[in-house]
Amino acid sequence: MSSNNNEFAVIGTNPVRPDGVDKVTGHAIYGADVKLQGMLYGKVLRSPHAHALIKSIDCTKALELPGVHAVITHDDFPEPAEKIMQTIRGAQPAVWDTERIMARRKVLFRGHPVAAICASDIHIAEDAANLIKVEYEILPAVTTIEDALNPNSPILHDDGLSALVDGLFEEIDGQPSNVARTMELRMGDLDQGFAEADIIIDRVYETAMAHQGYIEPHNGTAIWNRDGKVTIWTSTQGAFGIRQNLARTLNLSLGDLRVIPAEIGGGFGAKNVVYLEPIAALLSKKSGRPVQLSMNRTEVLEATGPTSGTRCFVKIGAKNDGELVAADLRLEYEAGAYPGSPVAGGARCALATYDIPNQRIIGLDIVVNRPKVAAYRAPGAPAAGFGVEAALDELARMIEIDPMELRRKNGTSEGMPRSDGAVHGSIGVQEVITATMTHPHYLSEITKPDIGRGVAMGFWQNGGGESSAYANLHENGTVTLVTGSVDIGGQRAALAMQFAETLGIPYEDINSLVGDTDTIGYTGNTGGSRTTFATGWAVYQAALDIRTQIEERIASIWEVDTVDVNYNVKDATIYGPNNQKMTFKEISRRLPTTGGMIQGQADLVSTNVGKIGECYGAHIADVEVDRETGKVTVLRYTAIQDVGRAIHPDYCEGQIQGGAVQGIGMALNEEYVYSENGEMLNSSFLDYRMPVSNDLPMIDTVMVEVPNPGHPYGVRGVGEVPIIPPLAAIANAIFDAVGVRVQNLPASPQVLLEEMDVIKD
Amino acid sequence: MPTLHIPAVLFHLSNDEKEIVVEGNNLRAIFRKVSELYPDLVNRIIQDDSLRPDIAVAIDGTILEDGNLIQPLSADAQIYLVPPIGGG
Repeated sequence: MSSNNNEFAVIGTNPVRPDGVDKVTGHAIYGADVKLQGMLYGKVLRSPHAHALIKSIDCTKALELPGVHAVITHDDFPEPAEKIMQTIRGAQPAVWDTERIMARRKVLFRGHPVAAICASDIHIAEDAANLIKVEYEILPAVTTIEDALNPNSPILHDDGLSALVDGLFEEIDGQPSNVARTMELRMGDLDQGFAEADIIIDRVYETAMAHQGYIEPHNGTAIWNRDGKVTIWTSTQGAFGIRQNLARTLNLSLGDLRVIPAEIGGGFGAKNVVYLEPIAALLSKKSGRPVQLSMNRTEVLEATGPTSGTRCFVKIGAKNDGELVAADLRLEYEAGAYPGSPVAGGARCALATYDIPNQRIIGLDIVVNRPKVAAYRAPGAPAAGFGVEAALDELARMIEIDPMELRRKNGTSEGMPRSDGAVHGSIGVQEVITATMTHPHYLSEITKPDIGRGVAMGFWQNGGGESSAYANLHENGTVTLVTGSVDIGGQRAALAMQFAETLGIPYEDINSLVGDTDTIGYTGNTGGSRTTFATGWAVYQAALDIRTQIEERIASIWEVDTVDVNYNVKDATIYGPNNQKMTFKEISRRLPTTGGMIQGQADLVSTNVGKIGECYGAHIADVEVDRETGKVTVLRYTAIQDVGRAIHPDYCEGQIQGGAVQGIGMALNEEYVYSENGEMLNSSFLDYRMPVSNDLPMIDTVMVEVPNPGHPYGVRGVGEVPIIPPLAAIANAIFDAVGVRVQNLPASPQVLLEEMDVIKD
Repeated sequence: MPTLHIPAVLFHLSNDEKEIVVEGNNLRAIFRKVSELYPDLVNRIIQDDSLRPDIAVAIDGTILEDGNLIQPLSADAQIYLVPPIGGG
């Protein structure tokens, strides 16, 4: 559903994406398509054990195989220059970064790299990897939150390194634990709030570790020149973040590193992390040749960063009329092998949709023998959101109120506080709720048995950060626009549209490109729903820069004061005194002979000039449950979301649909299945079951537009909110259909059959 | 005067003070004053004259995931320290 109100010429339309032809014709260059003269192919040898000490590594026979050029182990990585690294998840020993990439003393998850090899072709590299002998001392694996919290379980990080950072792990009863730092948010008086409650829901909800499921596996190509300069081609969401990480891992100067982002086949958060790039670089250094590595699907699933499995304790108190008065959450998130789960995302988002005056949210970051988790679309929010939204559904039924009416009654609004210290700005919570409650889907009746309807809401906020843009105006009035934002969801088009709108010129006149770390200024990663907002600000400012320069140039041509020259965006024409005027095309043509060409540029921290947007969505799901097989079929699905303003409505709709499908996957099918010894049992797409198009109905969307006043075009982030509501919307619909309250996702057929048996008994 | 609200997990560094009212026209001035009372608290928040990456700030209701110490403050600014969230 589009909503162009003709306020704009370009924004709100649906032009063709600039990368579309290359992608559908197979000409787009992805990371693994990069081919360099003399390039070697690398293979990583990975641990078959989830938890083990490395006693020895013998590479002798591998090096003797003809065609093999080099082998590396952790010993080839330099010692970090600094002992401690500061990260968004807190300070950590710097050596952990290289230990994650290549194990040193200990392996901490199945698939943990222990050595890597490069050879003249991939088959020789694979054969050689099998000739490397690694002697392990196998340790018991800690694969669940429950295991990790058991005082009798092994401590993963027992080598004393964590002592470098004060308080990195909690002590429990005076003993070291697997719990990394705890966080807590508070607001109001929790005891008083629950004392005021007439009804209290107190439940435990669990979600499973799940993967982003992007199509393109990770890859990295490196050439380490003899002058010490290193160039990396990779599939990434942010070239500058990769450069920073590589510089730290390899002890290189930022100026000696160039990272070139290739086309990307999906990321959803996971392609902000380095895995193969430093290995390729060191193999290149050792062999003197360019080296390329790519993962297969099993490596992607076992050894990259999925999202956390979680356990969430949710206690919510309400009055008989539905007024929410207190909420107490304890969120336990798996971090994987090293601290750094997205529990803060869960904590800050879980209750942000509602006005609940008394709150406490405790978050625990727990290490287990699984791959270290990475960001995944609204990191941390789906799991906590599932608990809260499922509890609200149960509450609504207990007090016999419509579930959306309960949300309307408690839905937050501008000026209300959040437990993280924020105060809501201009937001569209009530608009989203109204659009949901009046939607034909919500108003339709369900008349058949075993079919049920569920609703749920979700919150995320777009990120800010720094972005750069550079625009080169050509003599014919066309523009090459370069930004540092990797295009993972149509950003090249969305940025070109904002740029074109600001200059009043056609979208088709913009050639929108993605630069690399040597050709564009610093730009944060494409993630956190930040790019259309933050880099949108940058292209807007770059366009304003061009307008200013054009006005100055024309003033000099007309020999008038600049203040008397005005750029009119509506017709891309510049007007001056005495009815003088000149079109954008005309001044472009005259630039070479009137002082030279013009370039517009901007480099800004978006939150210094604007304000991030808070984003809300509500989903309606109808499902049918087969009582014989436990299979859940999604019959109808509608996603309603405040998008601020839809720059490219088709792309916004695609983001909402994609997010919803990923959330439905978490609700119904997707999970890492582990054996007791930490072996992933479903590390292929045959067994790791993601929903595909014939599993689902069309995801209908409704885009509500409450523009963000902190952005020149009203942008709010769109991409992350839609993954949050599906977990609870589906679970609530299952309850409505067959009376089973699923508290442990995914709601697989096996789980549902067992639960339905319990009800029968 | 501005008020610095201490997160619950850092109470042990502020002698269990939940709020500290302190004079200052930017965060640097605030933390300079606070360090006179609770140096360990400020060391946990500031490094190399910058906020640590795992600290975001909410100033008068606006969260700055990438806040800086020279951010001007209102006379009665309400300052919260918040765990940042990274997007996907």
